[in-house]
Amino acid sequence: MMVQTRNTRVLQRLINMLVMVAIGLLMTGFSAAESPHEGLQPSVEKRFAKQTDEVPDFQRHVTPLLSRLGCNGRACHGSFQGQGGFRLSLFGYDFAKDHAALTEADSGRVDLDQPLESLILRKPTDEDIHEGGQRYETGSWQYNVLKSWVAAGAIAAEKPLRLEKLEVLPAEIILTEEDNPEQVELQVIAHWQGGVSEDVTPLCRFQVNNTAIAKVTAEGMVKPAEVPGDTHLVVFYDNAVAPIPVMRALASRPAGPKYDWQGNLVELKFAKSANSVKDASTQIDSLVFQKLNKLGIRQSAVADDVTFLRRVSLDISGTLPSPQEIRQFVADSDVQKRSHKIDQLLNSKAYNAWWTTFFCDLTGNNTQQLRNMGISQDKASLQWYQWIHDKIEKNVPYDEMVEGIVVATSRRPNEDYLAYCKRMSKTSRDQENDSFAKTKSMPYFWMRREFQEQDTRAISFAHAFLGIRIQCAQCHKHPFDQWSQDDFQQFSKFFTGVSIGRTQGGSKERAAQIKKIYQDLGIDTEKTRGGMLQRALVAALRDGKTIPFTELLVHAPKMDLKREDRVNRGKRGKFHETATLLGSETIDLTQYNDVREPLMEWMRQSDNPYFAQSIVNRVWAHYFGVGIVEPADDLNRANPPSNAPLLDYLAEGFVKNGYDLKWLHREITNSRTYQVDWVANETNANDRRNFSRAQPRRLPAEVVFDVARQAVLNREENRLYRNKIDGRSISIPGTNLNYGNRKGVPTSAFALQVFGRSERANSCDCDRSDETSLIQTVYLQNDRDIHSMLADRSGWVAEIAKLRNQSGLAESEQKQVVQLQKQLDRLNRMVKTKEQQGDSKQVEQLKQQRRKEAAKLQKLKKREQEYEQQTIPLENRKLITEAYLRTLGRYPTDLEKVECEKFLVGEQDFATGLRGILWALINTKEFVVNH
Amino acid sequence: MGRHQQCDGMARRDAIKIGMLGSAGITMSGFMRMADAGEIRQDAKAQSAIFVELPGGPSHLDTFDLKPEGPTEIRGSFKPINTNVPGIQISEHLPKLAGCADKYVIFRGVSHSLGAHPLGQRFLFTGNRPNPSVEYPCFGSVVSKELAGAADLPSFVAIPKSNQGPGHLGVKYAPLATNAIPRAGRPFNVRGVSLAGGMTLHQVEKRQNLLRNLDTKFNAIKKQDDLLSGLDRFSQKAFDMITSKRTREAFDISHESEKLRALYGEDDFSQSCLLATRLVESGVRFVTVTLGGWDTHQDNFSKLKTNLLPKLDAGLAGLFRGLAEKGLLDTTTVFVTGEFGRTPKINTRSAEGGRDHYPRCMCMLMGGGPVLGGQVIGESDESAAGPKNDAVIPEDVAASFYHSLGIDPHKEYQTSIGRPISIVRDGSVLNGLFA
Repeated sequence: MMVQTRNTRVLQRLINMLVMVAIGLLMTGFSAAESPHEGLQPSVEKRFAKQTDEVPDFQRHVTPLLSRLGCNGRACHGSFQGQGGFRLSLFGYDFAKDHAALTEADSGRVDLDQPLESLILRKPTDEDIHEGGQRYETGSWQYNVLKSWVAAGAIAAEKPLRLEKLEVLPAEIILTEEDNPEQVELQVIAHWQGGVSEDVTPLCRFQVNNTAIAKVTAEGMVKPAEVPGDTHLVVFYDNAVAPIPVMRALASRPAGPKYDWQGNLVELKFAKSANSVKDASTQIDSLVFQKLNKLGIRQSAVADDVTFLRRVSLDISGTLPSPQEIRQFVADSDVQKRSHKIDQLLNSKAYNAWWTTFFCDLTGNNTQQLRNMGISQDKASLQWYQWIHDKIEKNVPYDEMVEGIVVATSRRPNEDYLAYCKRMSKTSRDQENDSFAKTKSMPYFWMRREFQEQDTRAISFAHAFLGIRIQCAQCHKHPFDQWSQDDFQQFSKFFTGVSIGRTQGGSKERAAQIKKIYQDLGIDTEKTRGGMLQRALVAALRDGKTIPFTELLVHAPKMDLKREDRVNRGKRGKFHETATLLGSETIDLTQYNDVREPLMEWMRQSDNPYFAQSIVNRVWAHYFGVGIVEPADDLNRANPPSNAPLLDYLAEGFVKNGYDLKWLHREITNSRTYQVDWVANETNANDRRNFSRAQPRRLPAEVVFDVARQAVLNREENRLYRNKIDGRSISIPGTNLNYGNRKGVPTSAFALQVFGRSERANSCDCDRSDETSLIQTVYLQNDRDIHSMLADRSGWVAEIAKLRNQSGLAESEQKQVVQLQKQLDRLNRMVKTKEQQGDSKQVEQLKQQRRKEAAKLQKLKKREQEYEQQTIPLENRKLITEAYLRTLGRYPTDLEKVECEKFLVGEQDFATGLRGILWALINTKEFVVNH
Repeated sequence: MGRHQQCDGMARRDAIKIGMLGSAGITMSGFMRMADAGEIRQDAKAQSAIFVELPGGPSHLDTFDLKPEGPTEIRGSFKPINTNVPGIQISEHLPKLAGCADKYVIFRGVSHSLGAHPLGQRFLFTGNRPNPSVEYPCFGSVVSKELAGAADLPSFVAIPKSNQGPGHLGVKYAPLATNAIPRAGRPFNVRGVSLAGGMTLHQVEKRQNLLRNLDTKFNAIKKQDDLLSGLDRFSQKAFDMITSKRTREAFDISHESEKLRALYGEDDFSQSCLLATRLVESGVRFVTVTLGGWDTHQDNFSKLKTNLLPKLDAGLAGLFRGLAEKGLLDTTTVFVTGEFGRTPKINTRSAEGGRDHYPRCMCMLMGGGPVLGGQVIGESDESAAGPKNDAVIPEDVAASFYHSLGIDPHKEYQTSIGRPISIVRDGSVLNGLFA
């Protein structure tokens, strides 16, 4: 297994890299004002152009040079198989291994006695046949660097020197138009620990993320490519990965000659479209405008009320607004109405359910991973869901919720195993109001079946809470970030301090207690096993008894001795003593009873670059369809944010506001940038990453199904849909899509598969799909689910059809009213008579009869009254409007009304006609996308 | 079926010479069906293709590239057997395929360097080495773009689904996934692909007409938006499919004659191959069939012997034979590949040993269409650790595959931002593969 990851985008890039050096501290470069540098060493290209006595350094010169030449690339000696028996560490930064490979005895690669005979000089110059062809010429500076290094004894890098900064000049590149291809030459300066600064431009590797916008040569010359837009240029050297923004504004030249009378090119004019500060209603808008102004892009107009209402309802609550709600909202003249609506949505039950699902996706609530927990896997998934639901409902700060997962324990302090099982047994019987949800800890994250190895745990943790794809560094230096394999291994040690305690064995005390539980249950585990045992336990639990539960055990960080042997690292011993936080300090693990604690402390530190940023970015991506860092789960140096100040502002604000998720939702949805229209103007049709207009996004799988259903429900159910989440797809707890299915209620399992609900399997946000497919359209047009929804006897169409058939009271009913009235008069008289006679028994009987008759009359009169004060519009045109409101959330145009009416009267039967209209509306693009 | 019987039942006839278009190789009814769908072109290349994905990476040493003379730690326990083509031997556990080796070419010593599943699959199932700035489309997406299909049929069907997507071509060229596999002898329809809910054709047409009149909101921007234009295209196609009897029947393998069904096995893979045959006959351009489970790090030999090879043998031989029976083999290119081979040296992690990922040497099969079957192209070294001479590279095989369908592999597409991308970046058509 070479690379264990499904992170295809990163991998895809990874392959392409012939040479890779990496990283250090990320720096976007200094301002030019800080240059020139005192005591700056000129580049090796200059110093080694001729013979020199200088001895090059293995880390600073030799390894980067090999990377630049492509030697340690995937297709060459960086291959895990090596090439021609010679293997370098993939993408470098394993100095010991590389030095050993270069100087291997009898390999001839480095010949200390006859330096010029060294294969590292003879092969790349093609003096000896080299499969990789000629990489440099004899006598070139590259040749001289390697020769001098060998001649001086081919000295290794003792302990890697720390690269403090990699400075790239210029710090930002603004490209001119293609027809004036001005090249920009880069200069890269390495600032080493101890104050040495060196021009390392010829030792760097360069890459432009979007080559349609700019191109860069191997030597670091940047020029514009095909289209305007913005991207990043990334510089790799040592372990540093330094991105700098590259921008080419949308611009035009005034009409007339291209050159002025002096022969100079007429200056470019940016589209006179800069966004005005006064339009920026929030800080988000100001920051988005700053970027857009640099690119000459004008943001679209603000969307109208109905567009806004549908969008924000779907995004926050996965639910459509009801027709009644739309009318009220449009009619409301309060200038604050949008903001009030946002608050109202954030307090809905559907918000709780939908965002619980969001966090279940993120943390990987996968039912298949929860077998053998003591209770059924569905129940365990439900507990996971309910636990998060409780936090979302109470708007518990995000860091607290995460803490409840990261440092989760099964037992409470000083609780013994028996007491734990008693509590869990009781909790698990508690159907309605699951008390598990109210506890502080949710240990299932660590108990998933396939997440028991320290490496998979590290990968899953980094994905969920840091938004980074650390898996690359499991096998080699991360190609787009600073992480070396050693960084990964040091980090993964934090994940060795917990393991699953099954319902057998353990300490003497625990084993004895398990034995006792089984004894009390009258179960002989020698005889009752497997499925039989499971059934017996389920029955016992139901009968109110205590059954044994699996638990998460917390212990000292155990060393996997075999593994340690294999990688030949760490001291021999039973437990890890230290572990290193990513890009941060080394922790003395012996100081902690639970080694996950320092992880949590680190995430909460104000300078943690991932914890707040990753969640803020993901929530942003939820609202815009594209993250500020995109893909949203791929925070890395080579993939910088499209708008760094914006991401910083949100992350800082989020922390400052106590990790308040609702603050974040409000901050985003109240901005003009969120509320902007999808209609493009002449500057922003091609913008996909700078938030100048709304991007139509396909509805998530759960929402497609739910809102298709909502659209056909009767008026009452449609109106209450947002606060009645029973049976909704957005509230399915785990990955068992059939969970909670009830007879008679259409199941969403098939739809969820077709539309790609998150599989929660791969530590990747791509587990959820937002693509479209033919079969999705086939589903909406012709699946039995949709047909049966439309045919629902208690649905809207049936409701309206029934009302249309009853015009007030039928003739016979009118006669009945007269009869009843007479009857009541008669009864009244009789009651009076009997009362006077003192016949209390008769009086009672007559009164009873009178009540009955009065009720009948009441019912008929009420119907008559209702019909007279008709509040339910039944005319065709009004129904058509209603159909539009309940599907597309907007009023139909006159033309649309005409089309629909033509269709409606053309159908033989009214109900079929109305169903046809709903069907057509559900099948518009407008319905299945959020826009 | 006897070991050496030819799988089309046409023993002693030179299959290669049979039926270029219009000769005995294609039945008249088949011809009419395809002519109806507007898909008979005069240059007489293949008209459709079936791509058999073997994800996991099948062991070349235990299937089509055995090394009986190799040392024990390499050669494994399987013996080679003769095929119906003199001089070509394959594994003893592929007797049916041995009986029709004249139908296909074996590529040996195919070599690349991507040893991870997702990357290898991206490479082998698109013909382009993965590249960070472009998402290459899979074969089926390119073919359904290049060769116009029938209006009432999906041009690209994946049974049950495909690993690869349409890449930069956009969602409109994504496959219709059946999401299910037909079971032997049972009626089969893809959910939704037949009129449901008691609707009449007339009603559906009226509704569709209304939908067309109403669905105009995004007209101004839909051309630039992949999502919207994809939805539009799907909408029309879904309608055509739902209302077509032909479509329903194309998916229903229970309509197939008993004689034809008998050519295939009863397992999922064979039934998928049967469905693929039927779909191609109906006019579907491209079908992807999948047989997974080849990642045999452990217990390589028992997994192959008891499960994978019998399935592959029955399904693939059935496919070649069924296509020939229907007269479709000459117009259908079949391409079979995994993402890499497996290490020559048998690892010792399990009792009987396994083989690990090995992209440097692998094998592939291609047959049907204009492919000149009954030959081996390329050769591996004595331990199957790499190509003996010049490597066959996946790009060349991909270019040849497209060529067999009359598609120029060097044709350039423009991505949405106007960047030119050729169909196959670095490949050229292999010499000797075609007549």
